[in-house]
Amino acid sequence: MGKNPIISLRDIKKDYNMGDNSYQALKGISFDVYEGDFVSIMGPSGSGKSTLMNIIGTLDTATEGKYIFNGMDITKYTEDELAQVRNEKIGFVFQSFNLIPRMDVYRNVERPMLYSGKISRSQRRDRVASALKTVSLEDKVNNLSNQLSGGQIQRVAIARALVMDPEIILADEPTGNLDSATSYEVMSFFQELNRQGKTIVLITHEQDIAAFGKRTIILKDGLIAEEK
Amino acid sequence: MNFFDAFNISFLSLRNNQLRTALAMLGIVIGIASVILIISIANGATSSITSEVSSMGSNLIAIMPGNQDKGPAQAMGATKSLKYADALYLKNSNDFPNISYVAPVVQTSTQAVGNGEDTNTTVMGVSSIFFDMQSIDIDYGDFFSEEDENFYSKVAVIGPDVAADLFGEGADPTGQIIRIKSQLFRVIGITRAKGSSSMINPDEMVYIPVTTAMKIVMGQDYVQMIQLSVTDPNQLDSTISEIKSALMERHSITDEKNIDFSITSSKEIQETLGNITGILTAMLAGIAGISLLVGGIGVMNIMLVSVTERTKEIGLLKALGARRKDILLQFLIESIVLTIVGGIFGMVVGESLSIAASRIIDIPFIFQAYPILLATGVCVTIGVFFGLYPSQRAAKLNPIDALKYE
Ligand SMILES: Nc1ncnc2c1ncn2[C@@H]1O[C@H](COP(=O)(O)OP(=O)(O)O)[C@@H](O)[C@H]1O
Ligand SMILES: [Mg+2]
Repeated sequence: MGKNPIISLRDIKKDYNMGDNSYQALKGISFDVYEGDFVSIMGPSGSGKSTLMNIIGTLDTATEGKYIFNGMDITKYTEDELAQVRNEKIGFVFQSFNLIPRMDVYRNVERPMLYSGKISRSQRRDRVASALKTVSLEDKVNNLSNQLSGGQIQRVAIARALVMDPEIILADEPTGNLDSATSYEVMSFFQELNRQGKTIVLITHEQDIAAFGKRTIILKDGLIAEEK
Repeated sequence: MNFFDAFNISFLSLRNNQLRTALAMLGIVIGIASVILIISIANGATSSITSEVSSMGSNLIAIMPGNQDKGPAQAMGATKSLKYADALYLKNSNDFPNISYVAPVVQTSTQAVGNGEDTNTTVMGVSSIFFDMQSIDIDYGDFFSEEDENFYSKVAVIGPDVAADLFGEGADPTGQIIRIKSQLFRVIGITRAKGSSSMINPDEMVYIPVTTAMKIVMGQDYVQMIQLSVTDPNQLDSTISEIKSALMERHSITDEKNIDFSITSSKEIQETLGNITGILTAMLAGIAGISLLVGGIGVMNIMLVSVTERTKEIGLLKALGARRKDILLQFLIESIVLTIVGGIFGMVVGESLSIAASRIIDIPFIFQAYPILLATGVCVTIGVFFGLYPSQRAAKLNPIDALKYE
């Protein structure tokens, strides 16, 4: 594992305001994720896992605390700069609604490269092909999402998360909608990617899925209850 | 993201949502089609009116009795203030070098009887020069001459409808006798069918020498109209004012308000008609413009629905690194492509309907580029204008709110 943390969280707090009431979903979270790490974040439903991942993924901002991503203090970044960070440095895999509706697999995997604007058409074609090869879906390149199984959709999402060669892959319950056999199959791709050096943060509430990671952080009521 | 990629994405998104796309386009198709149709009908009608009016030439002046400012009774020619002598004066005086011909006209509605038949007709007493001035052609026989005028000849040139009514279709009645108000006239010519223009049907006329008409048939010294033609149409206005002051002097009128005749020129009529048809066109185009506006609002509605419907998609795109302007561009291009493609359909529909309409209502179909250019410009404007707000809404969505949207 590298010496410099890709993610460094210090005392992260997140309040949700609902009218007069305010609910603290994160109550002070601190940990580091180093290059090559595979961290599973576990915890019961409502413990703040997704909130934490959205902050890590720069989709949301913490109410309090310090977040250094890849050496950069991104709290001061503009929305467009954050978009660029997400585009170049972070690959997302969500639980559901992963694919752009009514676009085929090729155009889904290609899309982050369009937003980057720096990758030629032929490079894009090569990168889509090799990303799909990584998840063994070369033959589905022209399929639409409604022609894919749940496991295949998640693998396309993994391919798309890889295509910009990001610093880190963030996965929020990627197997939440899958049966256990398919879940293991999808997880094996994450494990293989980590073996090749990709840094991964995985969120799950299932013990056996969390076990694919190198270490596990357990959240409870917005705090870290246990690290192992 | 570069423009080409943005266009590609927008196009695919439209193509992959055919129902939504078709609904959004519908208003634009109808709007553009009606603009094209209306402009085309207005143009066709205008050109058929102007060609009719310009066939009278731009060098004619008509003097009528009565003051047009003093109400319709006088304007209709019910007064007796314009004399045959006025016409002779204008003809014989050396003060009007620009006047080439003077043709006094009297007319009355009556019956013509001949060959045991009768028919209702308008008897016009005219000078021989009148036929030339009105571009009336002859089918059988000949026109009467200036000599017939001088000798009060009882000769008649009749319209083809009158000839058909009295002597049967296709007969040559030259040399036959007809009776008008108990006077017998010899038919010496049949005019060529012209067909009815706006109000008067020259085919239903009986023309007799103006002198004969005044003295023998009607017993009057006044005329219903004096027609003049000028040599130089560019000096029409000054000729008119010369005639006006000369006639005022002859009628012993000093105050313009008491004037007892009115002068119109064919040029003036053409201009008035041009104005009327112009106003009509503008009004119709305004109505069509409103339907375009409604179409544009339709596009905005569908785009807003589309943004709401695709909130989660927009959240996903932002997670993938789409910046505000990427989202803005995509939705804006969708809206512009919608309106332009809708506009193209609208043009095709509009031109087809125009061709059909021109056949049905018998006006010329005139293909013109400017409504198409206009419509294209309008479409792009509508696409940008009505697409901008929904696109901005999409672009400004907070990624996390969008992703969580249910
Ligand atoms: N936008 C929000 N507004 C208010 N409360 C929220 C919002 N998002 C999440 N929460 C609350 O914060 C807590 C943590 O939510 P979440 O991070 O989604 O948990 P998890 O992913 O572990 O199930 C929950 O109690 C949830 O109800
Ligand atoms: Mg969650």
